[in-house]
Amino acid sequence: MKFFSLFKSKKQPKLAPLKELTFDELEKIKFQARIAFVDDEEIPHVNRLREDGYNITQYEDIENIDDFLRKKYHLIILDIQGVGQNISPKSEGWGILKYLKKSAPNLIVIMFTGAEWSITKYKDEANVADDFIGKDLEFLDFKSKLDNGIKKAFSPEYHFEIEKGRILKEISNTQTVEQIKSIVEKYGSDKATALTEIKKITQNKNVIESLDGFFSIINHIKSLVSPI
Amino acid sequence: MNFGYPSVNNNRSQLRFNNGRFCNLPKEYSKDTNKIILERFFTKILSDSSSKDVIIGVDPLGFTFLNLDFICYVGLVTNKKNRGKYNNLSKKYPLNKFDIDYLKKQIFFEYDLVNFKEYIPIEIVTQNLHEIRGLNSKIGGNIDNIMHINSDEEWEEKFDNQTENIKKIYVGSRLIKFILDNIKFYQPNFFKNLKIKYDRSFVVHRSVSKMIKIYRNDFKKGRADIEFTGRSSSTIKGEKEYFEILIKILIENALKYSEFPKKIGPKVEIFENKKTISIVVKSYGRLIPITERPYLFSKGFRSTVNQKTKEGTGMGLFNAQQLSRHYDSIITFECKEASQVESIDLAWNIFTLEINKTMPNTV
Repeated sequence: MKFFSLFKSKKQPKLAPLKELTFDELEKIKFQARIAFVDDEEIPHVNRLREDGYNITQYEDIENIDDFLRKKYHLIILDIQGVGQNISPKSEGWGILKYLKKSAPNLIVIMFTGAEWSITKYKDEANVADDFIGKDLEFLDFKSKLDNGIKKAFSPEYHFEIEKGRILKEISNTQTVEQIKSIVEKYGSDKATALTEIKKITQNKNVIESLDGFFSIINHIKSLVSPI
Repeated sequence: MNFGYPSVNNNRSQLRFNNGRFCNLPKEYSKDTNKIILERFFTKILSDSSSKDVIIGVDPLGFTFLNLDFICYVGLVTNKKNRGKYNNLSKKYPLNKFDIDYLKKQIFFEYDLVNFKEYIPIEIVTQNLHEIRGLNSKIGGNIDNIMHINSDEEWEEKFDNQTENIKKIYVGSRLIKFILDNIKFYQPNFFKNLKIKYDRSFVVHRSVSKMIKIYRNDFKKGRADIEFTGRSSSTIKGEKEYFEILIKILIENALKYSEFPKKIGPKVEIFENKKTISIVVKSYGRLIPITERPYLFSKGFRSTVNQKTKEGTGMGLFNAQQLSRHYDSIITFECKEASQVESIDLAWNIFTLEINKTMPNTV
């Protein structure tokens, strides 16, 4: 009997794989995405999107960027010219984008632009934007880009890629990072189990803290799909 | 033309000294005793001039001159050292005293002004373009609201059911957008830097059909009828916005170079097989000489057969080919001559866009 127990495998926790939302799930929750639209002008598409059910708050400008961040939007559509005059007068919307992405990398920021030459001028800043919407894009194309942004905001894979960047700054061993990734994929839907398993391979406080934040985002997305 | 500073110009082999807007010529220039020596000196300076650099020197009277191509500032006193016996000029002509770097900048500025290079400051152009795009978005947005098209599937039917006025406003707004889009292609490395997102897909047939509908409703008098045949139901990955611009260029090109647009309009055909979707755009126009055909997609190239009769920049097909690469496709050209008789120089010019269905996600 003792002999058999030596070979008895350790009990594995119950699998709780992390999955991307299905089309139906996304359709169900897309109107719950909190969207901020920052533009000092009236945008005809916004009214129609609101009529369709999108949850959009329009701002003429961002006065206090930290207050704005505390409102925890899922997605921001940000004009380039004429915004951020107080915060970044020279680079306007580009300066805001830089600050938003640095302070809240998980936030989806779509630049709303009619000034393409500005993209060339601020190439580095432009690279961190999640997408661009041309000012004179037709409604359906505009909506399609917005839906893609919402999809990204509710994508575990997208958020994990951001965490991965942070983890790589803390752990240089790529094998450990891959192990963490594997745990996230297998148990990511169950925060407690996933964190327990991760703690078995790393005790790095910053990594645990960062992943804790990641699992909170996942829980939030889950709660939108299946409210308790 | 009077320049900002005193100048000399060579008018029909006759040298003429002119006062400037900001200061006049020194009295020494009007003295008969100095006339021959000044004429001899500046005739040589003006004949040696090059448009690239500013030549700076001291004339026989001790004044500084600056020469850029046809502009030659004269009679100026600068901070140039080693003026020797002429050092008292700065006391005598305090109003003609300027910093040499400032004068250099001014002569370039006036040169560009005369050549219309700086006539409209670029900031004003870009700012206005931005404003136009913003306003156009309001027109487009409101007309979208009136048309109330809820999906790409219903676009065609709903568009057809609109009143003529609504169609015209929609088309006008789209055509303005195309003009503004066209301007951005002139940015250095635009196509190299263009990042198309491949996480979405669209039906090719719908985009082609939409572009044809726009051009069937444009504002040209004696508009050509565009024939559209064939069917394709496949989707390809990428953003449809740039794909539609690519189709727009081919259709616009076909319309522009149709020789008898009312009688023989452009023909567009779409078909597909397992691997590819093909869009063929034909126009009946001038025969492109064989020797010119390899250069049709080159930047700035214009065929000799259309160069004089049609305006253009030679950028359309270049832009289209650059865009096609972002959709794993290629545009090819062939020419079907209307007749074997040498004196007839008409032909079907055929552009085929062949799109790989199993396109990879990167350029």
